[in-house]
Formats: sequence, C-alpha cells, structure tokens
Amino acid sequence: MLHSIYATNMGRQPKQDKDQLINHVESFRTNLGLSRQQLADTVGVHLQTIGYIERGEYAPTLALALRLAKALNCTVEDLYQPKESN
Amino acid sequence: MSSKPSAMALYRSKRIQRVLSAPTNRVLDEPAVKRILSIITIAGSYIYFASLLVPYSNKGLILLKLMFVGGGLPWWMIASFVLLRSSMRRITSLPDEYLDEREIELRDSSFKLGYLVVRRIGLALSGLIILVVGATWVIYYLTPTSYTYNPVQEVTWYEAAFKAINAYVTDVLGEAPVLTLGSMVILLTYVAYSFPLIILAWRDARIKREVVELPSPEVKITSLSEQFEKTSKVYFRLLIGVAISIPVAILSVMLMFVLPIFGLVTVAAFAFGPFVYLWAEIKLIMAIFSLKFQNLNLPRRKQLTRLASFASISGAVVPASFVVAIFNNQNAGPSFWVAIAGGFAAVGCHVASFITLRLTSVELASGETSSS
Repeated sequence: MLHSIYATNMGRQPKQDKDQLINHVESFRTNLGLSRQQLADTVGVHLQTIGYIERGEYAPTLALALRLAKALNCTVEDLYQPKESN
Repeated sequence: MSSKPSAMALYRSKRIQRVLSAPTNRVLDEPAVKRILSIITIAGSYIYFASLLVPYSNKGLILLKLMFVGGGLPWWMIASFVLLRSSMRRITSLPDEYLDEREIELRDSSFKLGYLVVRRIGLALSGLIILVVGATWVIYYLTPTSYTYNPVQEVTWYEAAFKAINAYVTDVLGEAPVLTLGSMVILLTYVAYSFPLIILAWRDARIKREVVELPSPEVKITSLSEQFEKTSKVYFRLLIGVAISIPVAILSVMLMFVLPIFGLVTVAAFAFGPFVYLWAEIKLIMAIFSLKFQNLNLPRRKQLTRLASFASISGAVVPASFVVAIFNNQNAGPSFWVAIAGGFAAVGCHVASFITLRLTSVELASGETSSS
C-alpha cells in the first residue's frame, strides 16, 4: 500500500496563505432559498460539485464562478474573498 | 438525407443512457465501500505478486500458494476491480460533455497520477533488477578468478551471489516458465488498469457525500423491484449457461485428444461456473443490503441471507477439496467426491436464490412489503 499512500499525497500541493479564499456560496444560496440540486441544475454541474465548492474542497474555474455569481444574483467578488481581507 | 446511426454509435448512446439513469445512493456509492474495494484490490495485487515469487522447491509455501491463488484470489481480484469500476463508472465511462469540470479534473488527475506512479515503480523495479542481477553477472564474468583453476574450491561472494540468484530464478520459474512469466504480465496489466481507479475511488471517498433528496417510498420500492427483476433475468440466463457448460466441458475433454484446441474450450467451460458463482454471490449480497437499507421485506431478506451463506460455503468447499485431493493423490477419492457434492450444493443454493429473488421482485411490485 506504500506506493498508494505516496500516490494520494503526491497530487495535493499545500496552498500558500495568499491563495486561501473564503467563500460565501452556501450563505448566498440559502438566502435565496435554493437547494444544492437546484443550484447545480441552474449552473449545469453535478450536485456533488456544489457541495465541494461550498466546503472549499474545489475551486471553480472562472467560467463556473461567473455562472454561480449570475445564478446567485451577485458578483464573483461577493462569493470569494481572500483570507487576509476578512 | 439523414444517415442511420451506426451500430457502434447506438451502443455508445445506450451505454451512456444506462449510466445516466443508474440509481444514486447505491451500496457501491458509499465511501466506506469504495475504500474497502480499493484495499482489497491493492492487497490482492500484493498477495498475487508475492505468490509469484515463491520457489517451487518450497512445498509448504507452494501449497499455500495453490490454496490462495488457485482457490480464488484471482476471482476476488477481478470482482473487486469490476465493483470498483462500477462504483466510479459515472466518471470513468461518460464522455466529457456529460461531466462537469470538477469530475473531469478528478478523472484526469487520477489517471495522470496513476500513470506517473506506475511508471516510477516500473523504473525502480527495472533498476533493481539491472543492479542486482547485472552487477553480479558482470563481476562474475569479468573477474579473472572465475576462469582459473582453483584447487581449494574457494567460492567468492559474487560467485555465490550469482549462483544463488540464478538458482532462485530457475526455481521460481519451475517447470512452467511460460505460466509464471504470463502471470507476471497479467498482474502488470491488472495493476495498470486498477491503480488509477483506486486513486480515483480513494479521492472520491475522502469527501462527505451530499445527501440526495430521497425519493418517496413508492418510488424506492418500484425501483428496487425493477432492479431485482433485471438481476433475476440475467441470473436465469447464467444458470442455464452453467447447465450447458457442464456437458460442453465433458465433451470438450473427450475431443481434446482429437483436436488440442478443444483444451481452450474445456478451460472456458470450467471457468464459467466459478464466474457465475462469484457474480451471483456479489448480486445476492447487494440485494440483501438494498433490502436492509430500505428496511423492506424481512422474511425474504433472511431467506436470501441464508441461501447466500450456504452457497458461499459450499462453493468454497470445491476448490479446497480439489487442492486436498491433488496433494493427497493416493487417497484422493473422498476429497474428489466432497468437491462434487459441494459443487452441486452450490448450484442448488443458487437456483433457490434465483427463485427467491424473483419472488421478492414480484412481491415488491405488487406492494407486498413487510417492514421490520
């Protein structure tokens, strides 16, 4: 199993502090009364992906971030902020 | 003028629809199940690799090897790979246009990582072989003492190492070098296919699954009933196949002496039974867990559990008895008959399981559910 443990750790590079973001996707979604499935259907992704995004486990591409902002009636800057600015 | 879609395009379209319409919240979608399957696949590969390194002169270890590897390890390896692939089939089977960016990134990075790691392990193994075997070989043939008459018969360390390595490799290959080398190639292919899948499943299992909006109880029962009906149809065809494979196996054994090519037919016919046995065991376990998770139909669930248990025990008796018969060849008769009896018992259990599964499907469809 050694090479497998090595493998799963290989792909995850530690994020530097300046790259850490705070995301407000979940709060914007709940304020609008949308479920994760509804938001997923609106932006055209799988339900699991919305969960990953809200927990900060996945950073969306710019195109997806823009679609999220449009669906949540806000801007990308409202959804994502750098950690030190908070 | 519209052109008819080709057969390949139609098959591809149907396969995509089948994956898209697969039920969510299957047992295989549970993170713990994905991890267990990953561990079984990895452990199976290591055990199989270790078994290939057992020299034939070590009778005790050879017996263990036969019981493990001959008894069922390859089947478990195939089963865990198939189930792992099924658990990740959405990401591995669907083309890019049906996946979102995260799924594409997860798939691509896992396969890339799998390739990189397997590549490096291959390089490390090659380097080790070149270093150990090549170095002793070069030292042995380039040192002058190996060509001179040595009345004291002193053995240098590199001569001893060279001879020991050669003796070990000869012993490992035994009298069937093609089989041993072929097994190594098959193992390498298995690792190349399974390792990226393991990384994919392990990463996917790391994250807490979203709770999908649960369908109504009526929809759950109907979906389960349809699932059981589909499974029991395939089950029926496979059992018919097993019934046909027995006379085919006997006939091909006789014809093998006329045309050796029938040896392949014999092998296929004998392998079909264990394949159906394993398939049926997996499907029965999945059916039992489905009924348990939905809290449905307790009497049938207990029947299926009993039948699956008896089938697995009687099925395991068959290879174990054959191995005992091979090593006890002067008194192989009783073990041989135990194997035959075990085989018939396993077939009987599976026929009963098929009937029970079919009845369960009919009862669920007609709304007869007795919750515990």
